[in-house]
Amino acid sequence: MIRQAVRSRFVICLFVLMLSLLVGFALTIKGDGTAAGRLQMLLSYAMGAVGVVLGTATLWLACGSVSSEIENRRLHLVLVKPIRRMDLWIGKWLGIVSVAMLMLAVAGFFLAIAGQVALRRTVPDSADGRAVRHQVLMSRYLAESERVKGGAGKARWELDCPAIVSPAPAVATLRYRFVSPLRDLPPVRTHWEVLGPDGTCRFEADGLANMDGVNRLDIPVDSLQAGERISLTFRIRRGEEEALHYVTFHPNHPVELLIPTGGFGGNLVRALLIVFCRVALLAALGVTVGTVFTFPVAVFVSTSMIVATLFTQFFVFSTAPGRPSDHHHHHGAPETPAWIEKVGEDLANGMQFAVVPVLHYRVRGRLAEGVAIPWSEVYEAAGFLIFVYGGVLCALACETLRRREIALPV
Amino acid sequence: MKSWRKRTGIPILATAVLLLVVAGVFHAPLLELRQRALPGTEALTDAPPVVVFTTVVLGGFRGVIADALWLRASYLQEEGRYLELVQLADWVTKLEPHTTDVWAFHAWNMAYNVSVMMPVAEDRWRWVQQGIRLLRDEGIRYNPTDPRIYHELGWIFQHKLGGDSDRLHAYYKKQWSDYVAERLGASGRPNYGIFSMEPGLRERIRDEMGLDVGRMQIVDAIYGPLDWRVPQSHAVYWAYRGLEVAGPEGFLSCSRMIYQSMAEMFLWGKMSWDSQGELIMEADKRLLPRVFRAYEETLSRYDDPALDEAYINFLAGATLVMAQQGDTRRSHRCFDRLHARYPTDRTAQGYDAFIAAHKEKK
Repeated sequence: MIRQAVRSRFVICLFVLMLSLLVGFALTIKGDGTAAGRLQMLLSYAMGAVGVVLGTATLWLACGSVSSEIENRRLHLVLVKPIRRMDLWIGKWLGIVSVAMLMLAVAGFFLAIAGQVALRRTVPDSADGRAVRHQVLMSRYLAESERVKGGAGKARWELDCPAIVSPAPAVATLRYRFVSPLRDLPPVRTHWEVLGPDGTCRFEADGLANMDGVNRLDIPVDSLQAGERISLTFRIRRGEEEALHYVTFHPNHPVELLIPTGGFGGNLVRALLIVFCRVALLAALGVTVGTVFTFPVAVFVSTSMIVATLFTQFFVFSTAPGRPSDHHHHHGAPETPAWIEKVGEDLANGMQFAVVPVLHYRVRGRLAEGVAIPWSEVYEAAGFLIFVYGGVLCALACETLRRREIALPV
Repeated sequence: MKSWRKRTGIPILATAVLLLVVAGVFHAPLLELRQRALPGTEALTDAPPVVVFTTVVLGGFRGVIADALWLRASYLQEEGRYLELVQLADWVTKLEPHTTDVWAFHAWNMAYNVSVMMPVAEDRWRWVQQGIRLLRDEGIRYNPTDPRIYHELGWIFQHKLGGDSDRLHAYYKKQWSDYVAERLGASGRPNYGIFSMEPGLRERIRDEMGLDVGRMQIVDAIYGPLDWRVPQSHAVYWAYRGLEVAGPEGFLSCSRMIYQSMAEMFLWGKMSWDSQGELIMEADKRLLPRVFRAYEETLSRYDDPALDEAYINFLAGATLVMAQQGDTRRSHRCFDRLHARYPTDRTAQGYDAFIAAHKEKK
């Protein structure tokens, strides 16, 4: 399979396309005017582009791997030998995913170099340099907080620290947002405290917080210990007369603490492995569909399946109760849904149940924001996408190859 | 198979070359026809290859892509993820380079909507600058003959930087003042003699501030002496550029921007900072004759009763402000002009009665 891919100049074309995309992004991306912003954009766009290009190319290659061999009757020579159908399928799949793995390694190398360039080009003590080092080129555990009763004039959250916390000079970052009834209200004077499990204050800071947008507060990692449950308390400091005396924390954006747990390299590897799992699933899909249909039909069918998967949530929303069309009738008797709607809804629900795990693993945003992608997620992705979904597809393909009379004229 | 390829390969290649030549022959006349039929859709001449590629290759489909990118930009903005907005604005505008509204929207969005979401003053200022840069460095490049784009750029200077609607307007004024002082001198008054002798300096001003020194000198001669550290001076400059491209029929929004900015500079355009770093804004009284000129030029050019109202309000207001500041000479000048052009019962009773009536009303 690899030899065939190289011979058809597939690998070279893919390599050139991917490299030109990555270099193109590196040269043209603007970001928000800061080095950290530019690097975040590069990571996000490059990961997205690699996923799309590699996914499309893999699907294309996989669809043709079996179907073209049936068409040109090369497979007949293989199948008459004492070879198991599963071995054939796995052989094809392994060949394709090894090409994808190679490409991902190239992309990873490129992104690692981009990170190093950003590191060298920024002054460590500047705001931009700190952002590059502590917010982007970092792996930070996202600790979501749980709001608890805080006492008079105080708000309080509890959260768990991860099992590993990187030592200083790494810093943890607290992120929070308020609900603002008007734009550009004056900032509020805030007081935050980090409390240990025994209630002792480990860190406190006064500051100004904007009513709009995302507020950030750096917390030294010395005040956090691995594996313990800590509390965060917030209160408004009384200042000028016209200052706000109360604020509402945003209900859809909970208070989050990003705790550094490791470096960028490990996070990049884990992100690429999850992308690999998704590409491997596409390869499995392509090979399997290629056992049933001819090459163009296989490409069409597998692409349609992917599009349907991506739009599954939309189908569910449009047929779910409370859809916009319901509001037109809320004064009269409720309309009985037509049978086609019921079938559509059941179908969409079924599809969503089947494909939710596939859409669950999103990494590019987290990699760009320096949010940790845990190994457990990589294992989970490999288990679901490669072994469960890939296994089902492999079984389908083996059964098809067993039952199908491939010697019939195409 | 191979023999068929051999047989047909050369004729196909020859046909392709022939068609290419024919397309090349027809290209120039077609361009001419298009320019005649659809003025304002001139082909990009000095655009970067990426822009030429996207506009030519994508054809009509680029509108669909621009819509998709726009939707993503709106979604990200709602989510509070602003990082990508500059990039998306850049792509959307490059996909629709001749649509002024697209440039105006994205510049305004960054300078106004996104900037106020930033908790830190430096970040806010960066976003305001992104808005300015988008219009000044790129929007004008692709739409040099559309006065609206100059007006939109001038508006950011007049309102966002020059006005006080933003809580951090004093910070913006300080940043802009320092930026200009570094390039034009601490007084904000360029030495045109030195600029005319040193092309490198002129280029720096053009590259970093988008200003053409020759035109600056003209604007200064008509409306100055302008302190270029004051944002409204730039609003006047860009509005003047808008009027230049608008031609003989003019463009009221730009004319309005000129007299409004002049009036603002006259009333509070002299900026300084006290020892605590607090902004002090005072009247720049030297500009009074130029303000008269700006208003009267606009009045002579357009037939709009609202312009008379605006001039009456300015003259009455300036009379009172100058009187309050103890500058009776300029206060009298404003009053005399008000009475000469727009005599009413109020003004017929004379200067002292006019001032006294206002004090009583207050």
